[in-house]
Amino acid sequence: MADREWSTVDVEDVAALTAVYGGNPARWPADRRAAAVRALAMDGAAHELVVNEARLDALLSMVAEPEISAARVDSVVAGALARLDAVTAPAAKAAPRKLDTFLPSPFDLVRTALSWLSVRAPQAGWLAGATAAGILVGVMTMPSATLPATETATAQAGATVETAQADVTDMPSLLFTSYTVETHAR
Amino acid sequence: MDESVQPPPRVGTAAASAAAPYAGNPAGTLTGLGPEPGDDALLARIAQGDRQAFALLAARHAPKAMKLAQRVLGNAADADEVVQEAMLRVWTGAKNWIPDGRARFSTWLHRVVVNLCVDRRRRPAFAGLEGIPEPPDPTPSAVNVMARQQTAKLVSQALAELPERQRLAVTLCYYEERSAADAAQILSLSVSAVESLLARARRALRVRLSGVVQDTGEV
Repeated sequence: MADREWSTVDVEDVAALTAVYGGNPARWPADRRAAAVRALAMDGAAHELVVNEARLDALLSMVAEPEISAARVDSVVAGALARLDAVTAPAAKAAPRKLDTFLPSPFDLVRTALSWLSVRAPQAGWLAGATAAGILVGVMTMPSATLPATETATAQAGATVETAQADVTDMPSLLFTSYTVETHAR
Repeated sequence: MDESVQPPPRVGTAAASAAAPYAGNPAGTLTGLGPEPGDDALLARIAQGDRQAFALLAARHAPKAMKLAQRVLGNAADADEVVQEAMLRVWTGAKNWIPDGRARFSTWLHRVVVNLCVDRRRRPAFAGLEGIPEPPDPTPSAVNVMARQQTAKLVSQALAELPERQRLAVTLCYYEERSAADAAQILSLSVSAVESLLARARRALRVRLSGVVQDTGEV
């Protein structure tokens, strides 16, 4: 119902009021109760509306109220008290680990691979060592994939950007050639 | 409301005695608080782990919460479980309670109860003994009582068939005698939305109970 002053109400207001709150003025909102009760005394149609809704109220009131015995209340409270220790536990829980703590570092991977090879294929130890060293050097010398600030500004300004993919033809070039995106402002 | 309503239950005696051993206070009274400590004061004590304050607050609010839960669920055992669960949330959430006067504890508790009831109603129902109707009383003097019970059963059925939010709005505003503003807070809705639910619920009930109206001539 829209906000307004309820100094006077008409039969339509009473109809809207009773359709929501029923025929018992005690249930009507306080801000419009007095005016609505005055309208009942003066308007027979409004009075009839209230009587009709009060009949439905009478039917609804026939549903028995749930009986809540003292024993039931005590049982619920005592049961809750008995379970307090179980719900107090959260403070003792360990803090959740971050995702990155679960992921191995590249060095861990290399170390694991080397130890696996030394066990499974000792004769391939030198080859494995050289390969691992190559990968390590490649990772450490890899330039950043993000554009430097000046280049980013140029690119955003509309300069033509040329993207070149490294021409990878063999294993050493795969390991040592930078294959990240390069940009050149013309 | 039903005129044959039982008097308000005597509560808190067993709960207080249950709390006393935890608090180390055999008398069952809360030291440092008056004879009738307010909800906010009790919640502050509960936040510090005071079990006796918890027992007092739970015993104070459990009867209304149980009545609400039983109206929504239609089952005493489920209602008791829901209220117990809600009370445990009071225990774990007391430290977050801000006594700024804007929110009443009972409104917050009823919101928790309503949400737990809604969750429980969505679970598959277990057909327990409580679903079996009681045998009718065969004595002739019980005819009027039986007719009234039959009507009450039809009304209960009509209420149960309402959409969930309409039923909750009727339960809160009609049976629990909450204002529309309170019901709006409990249901996390606007006042106008609650009023709309109430109006639709009453329209639906009038249609569903039209047979009862014709039989009884009451409506």
